[in-house]
Amino acid sequence: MAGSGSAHLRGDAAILSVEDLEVEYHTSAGAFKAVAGVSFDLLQGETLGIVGESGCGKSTTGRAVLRLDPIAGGRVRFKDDDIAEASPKRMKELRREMQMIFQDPVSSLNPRRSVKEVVMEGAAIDGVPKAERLAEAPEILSQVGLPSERFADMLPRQLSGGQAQRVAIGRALAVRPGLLICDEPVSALDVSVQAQVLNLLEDLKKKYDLTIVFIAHDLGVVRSFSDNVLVMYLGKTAEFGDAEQVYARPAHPYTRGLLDSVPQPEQEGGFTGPALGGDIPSPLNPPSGCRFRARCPIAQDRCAVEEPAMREVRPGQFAACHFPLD
Amino acid sequence: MSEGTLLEVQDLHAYIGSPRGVVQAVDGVSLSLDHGSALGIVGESGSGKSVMARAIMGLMPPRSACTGSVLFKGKELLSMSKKELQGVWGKQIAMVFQDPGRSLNPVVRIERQMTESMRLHLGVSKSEASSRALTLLQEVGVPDPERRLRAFPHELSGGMRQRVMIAVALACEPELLIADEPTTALDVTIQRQVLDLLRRIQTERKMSLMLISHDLHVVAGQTDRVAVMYAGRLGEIGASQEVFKHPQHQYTNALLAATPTIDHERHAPLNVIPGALPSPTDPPAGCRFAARCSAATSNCHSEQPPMAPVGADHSVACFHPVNERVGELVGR
Repeated sequence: MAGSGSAHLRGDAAILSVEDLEVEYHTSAGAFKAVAGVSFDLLQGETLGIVGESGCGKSTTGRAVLRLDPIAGGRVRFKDDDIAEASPKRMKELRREMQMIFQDPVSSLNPRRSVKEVVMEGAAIDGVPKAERLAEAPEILSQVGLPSERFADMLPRQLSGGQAQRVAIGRALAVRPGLLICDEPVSALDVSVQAQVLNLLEDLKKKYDLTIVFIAHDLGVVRSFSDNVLVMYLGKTAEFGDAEQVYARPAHPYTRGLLDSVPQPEQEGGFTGPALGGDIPSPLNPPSGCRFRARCPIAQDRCAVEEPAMREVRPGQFAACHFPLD
Repeated sequence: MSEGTLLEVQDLHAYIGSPRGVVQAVDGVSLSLDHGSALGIVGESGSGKSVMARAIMGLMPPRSACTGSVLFKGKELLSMSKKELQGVWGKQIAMVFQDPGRSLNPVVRIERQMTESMRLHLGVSKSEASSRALTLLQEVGVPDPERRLRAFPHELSGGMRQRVMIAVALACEPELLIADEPTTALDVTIQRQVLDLLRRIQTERKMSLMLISHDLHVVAGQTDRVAVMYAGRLGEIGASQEVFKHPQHQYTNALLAATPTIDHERHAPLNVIPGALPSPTDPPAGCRFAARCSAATSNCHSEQPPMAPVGADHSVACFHPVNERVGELVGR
């Protein structure tokens, strides 16, 4: 990755379009771009999985779409609105249409409010009267698999991780959003609970025709849940395309390395291919040219001087690499 | 106890006092580990896998009790005094934990953290310890080891810190390394590097390894044998490939079917394990998985299934092992 460029965008047909997004963080050691020119888009009803390791900027990207982190450069368009330019009043309206679910379900819920109040928080902000909100809560809770009789009056700390994540999903859906951004929604959960939550999200997506940005580090989870996948590395895009195609035939050496790092017990040694060497570099001081080159098994001189742009390597599959894999 | 056995755990119970009652964290686990081999321990939260490791090490919290037997090279660890255990820790059994950031002292340079235990346990001089520390960092693949010795923990990445922790654990040349979720906090490419490292040092040093993880996929490819725990009990144990490819316990099978793999069919529903863990303070009388099991019958709720062999190196504690109902299964 390393790359920038927006050859993979599909223009006005997309409901959400992110072009050359940049997000800057300021630290005592200096400013750096956590997201340094990322582009992707989603059609209505599509699910985009964003994968990558720590520091790749996947969570920051999700937050910037909702303007929870300031947009330093580039453009985010949701339907007819430019998110960077929207007024605070308009942004408040837009955040109803674009909801987010976070990794840590318990800490994302107000600890002093009962479950029935938490799920209706969005409606409360909209000024819906309390009596109406409380009347609607049981319906929302039942949709996320929490019988109201048992759960409505509980406090968040009395819930398990899986139940708390169901409440967070219910709260997001209660305001009837069109776009859902899920940031590592199942990574704090045990496998048996994770499957329940993923199935719930899949059902609700169909029921409400949701468009979903699904951010996760688990490649198996992303594969099972996504139509398209965006692979990020150190604030840049590495690869974008149909998830099945990208997993079956990765074009970027980083995608290849990620997939080869997924444990496959039936293989000799437990993995399908060689390990990627080295560590993820500091975003404060990223390598020149292609940001992945220091760990790339096939890097050439050109990779150090010229940043690769996203280009179509196969129909519908884009990679930012000077030497894409076959 | 056979000739090649290094560690033999017999009917281990580890109970911990809590405000809600006595937590039966480990409840009757028996297993053994041979010289030079690798054993995986797999289980989700509340399975008792970490408590078992701590019980073996004699590192149980206050208000806890262990019964049963833990024989290490024929010696009973459970009855050892703290002083006797100090002769075991580091030199015979060493441990690596999940969060390498918290196991290192943040205000002490790497060199002193590595050399202190060597000087204490091995009685070597300061300069001898320093040169050993340098060799160890090289062995675990830390680049630029001279510079890293002078660094503080926060100056290292998570993967580097875990390599340092492994080097510290190796310093006194233990015969058994217990690694409790050593890669859970790491990114997948770094996890891969650390797993490769553990396998390499285990082979090169002819050391035994106990690799504990919540993920059967991580463990099965890296170990000779694997044990699957659920709610304090052992469900299944056997050759890793056998357990992974032909799981016999209904829980192991359900766990594998619930895990999305990188070739899972898109948008296809995952197999779900309904319900939640039983109460750890008041566990059910029969099989602990019975309430969530699709194959459970009335005896599963009243009787504890005994561990019984189902293959050459494969035993399972289940009244309805998977091969009994081939054809009924979906998804796998």
